[in-house]
Amino acid sequence: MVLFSIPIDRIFKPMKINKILIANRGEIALRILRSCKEMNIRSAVVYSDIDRTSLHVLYSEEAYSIGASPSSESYLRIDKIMDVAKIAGVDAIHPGYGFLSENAEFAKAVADNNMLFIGPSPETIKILGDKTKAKSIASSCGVDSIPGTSEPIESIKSALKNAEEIGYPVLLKAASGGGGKGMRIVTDSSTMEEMFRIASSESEKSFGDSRVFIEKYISHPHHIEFQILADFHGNVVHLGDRECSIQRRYQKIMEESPSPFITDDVRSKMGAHAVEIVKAAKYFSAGTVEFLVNSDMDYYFLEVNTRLQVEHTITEMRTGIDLVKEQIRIAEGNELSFTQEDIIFSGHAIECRITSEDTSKDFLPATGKITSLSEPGGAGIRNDSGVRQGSEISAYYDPLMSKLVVWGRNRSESIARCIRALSEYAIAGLPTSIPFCKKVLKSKDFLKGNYDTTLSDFLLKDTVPVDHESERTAAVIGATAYKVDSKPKNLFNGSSTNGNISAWKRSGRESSLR
Amino acid sequence: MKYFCKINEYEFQLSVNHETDEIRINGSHETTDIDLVKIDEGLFHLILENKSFLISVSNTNIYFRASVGGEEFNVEIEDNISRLKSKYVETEKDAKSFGKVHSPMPGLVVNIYVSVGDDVQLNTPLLALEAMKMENEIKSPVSGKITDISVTTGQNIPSETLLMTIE
Repeated sequence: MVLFSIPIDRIFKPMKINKILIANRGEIALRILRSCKEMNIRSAVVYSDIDRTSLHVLYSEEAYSIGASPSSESYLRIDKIMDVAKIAGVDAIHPGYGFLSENAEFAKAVADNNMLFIGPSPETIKILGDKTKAKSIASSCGVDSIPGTSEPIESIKSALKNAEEIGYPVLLKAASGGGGKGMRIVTDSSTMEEMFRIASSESEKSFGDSRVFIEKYISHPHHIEFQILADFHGNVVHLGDRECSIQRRYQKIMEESPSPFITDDVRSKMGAHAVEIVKAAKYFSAGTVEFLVNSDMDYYFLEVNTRLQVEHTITEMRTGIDLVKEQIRIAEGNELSFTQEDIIFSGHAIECRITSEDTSKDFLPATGKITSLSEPGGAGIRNDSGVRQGSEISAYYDPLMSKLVVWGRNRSESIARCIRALSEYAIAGLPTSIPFCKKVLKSKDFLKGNYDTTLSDFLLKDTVPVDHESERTAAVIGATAYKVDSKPKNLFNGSSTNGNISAWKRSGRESSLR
Repeated sequence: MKYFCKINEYEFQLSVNHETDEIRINGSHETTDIDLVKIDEGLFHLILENKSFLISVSNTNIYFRASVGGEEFNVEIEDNISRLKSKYVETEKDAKSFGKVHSPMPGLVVNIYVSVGDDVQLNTPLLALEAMKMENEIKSPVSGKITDISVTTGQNIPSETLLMTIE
């Protein structure tokens, strides 16, 4: 195996980080900026053309332009970001999530320029990014991956043979796929031929690659992950689990911690396994071990995410540990200041990703301007937002606007609090995921804690009209007022758009001028 | 002015007196006690018979979307003048727009699944549009034959661009 480049110098003598470049945008750039300020570390941010007035730039200490709006010309440009790092004189770079965060080449470029990459080593990123290698590490720790073929299926004959070995139902999966295309569930051998043909041709059409893999189909799966912290000195702890089974388009939209599904016994076994896997990978920094759990609570290794996750916030709410600060301390070469036994889990936390998506149109991303924004507050609320009133949501980046995170003493308090906070959250100008999140929180299966990755699809199809007589009336009046109000204004009246005057009255006055 | 509104299967009629601010709901002879204030662009506060509602509104191409306390409603609104107008032009407009597929959002055309001359069914995937790191399939709104494809793979298009014509 490859030699791991553990920074020997820092094991013997931790170095203090004085200035960090934040190579990201949106809410996570702001999140990192905040921890830097609290640690009295100077920081610099980067921005693309369209982000000149984004919140992470407005709040920054130093800001550097890195080019045009498409991420391929800005946030993904290793050369430009390294140039900024040198000009700004930083000694470390935090990549956030997405963009370059799991790019081994970037981590190496940072190290080659004698700066610290706040994350694991380039070698670790590479090995864990290779599914086959990651699976063999997990297997060496006694954790199975989902049974399946490691090579693409060549023929119907071998598909039947493999399916027999794995056991039905099986899943046919496009080799270069994603997002559910080229995927087919096969329940018995009689439909294999047809499904194999469909999956191959769909993969060919969608990805120009007809190869398909075959693996065991896990029905009603749960997606459960463990947060890990590991230092250079070999200390590894886990900070508990997160249930991430509310997904759309195979992407997470709501998460809660702890999972209401697994028992404490299974939880502690999974946590111990997650720690072992990370130790075997000689991992350091913050990371996440992801598992798929079936309805019998058998768990399978999925992958290790070698970065901070979007949903790290719910872990912070339950442990009181600031994961970004810990990442920075670890990068400096410090030992973890706490052991597994020191970590105290308290209460229950939920995160809702507030995105600009149209849930009534299969979560179609929407672009536009936030014309009005009222954010929730009060006890137990944390709102990590990257937008403000007037922000334009463009098609260049992902549709995440903010993360509403709530904490409660127990699951029922945290659900009630989350529903309350979502009712306060008023965003005008764009469709948002707020109504969908609220629907999830009020659904019977979620309340019982008895749900899996199929819940979201079920709720989308579920259009049972709820009785909201007075809300309906209010909606009609509001929408009508908006229509009246947004009519082209009369020339003579253009300047007197007083906010407090009634829309009806103003419209009446304007029509009387005509 | 009279407004005809529709939420799902529910129909509302609002009569608004723009001078006095009085509104009547569903032809009622009683005026409803209503206090409506505009807070921001797209944000209204309503006190309706002493019940309080914060309403955020956005405009999609087809309807208005009003969100009240995190519950969402799609409202179609027509005033009596436009209702009158649409009665005359409806048949002509329908014939023209039939089978013209427009993009619902801005994005990059990453894949076109069909060619001119292909027969497609309702909901046949026509092309993939990438926006915000996600691929979105645009499906056929009608059954018919593709007579024209107005975009090419790799093209960046604004919202409402004509994509294809199906007859």
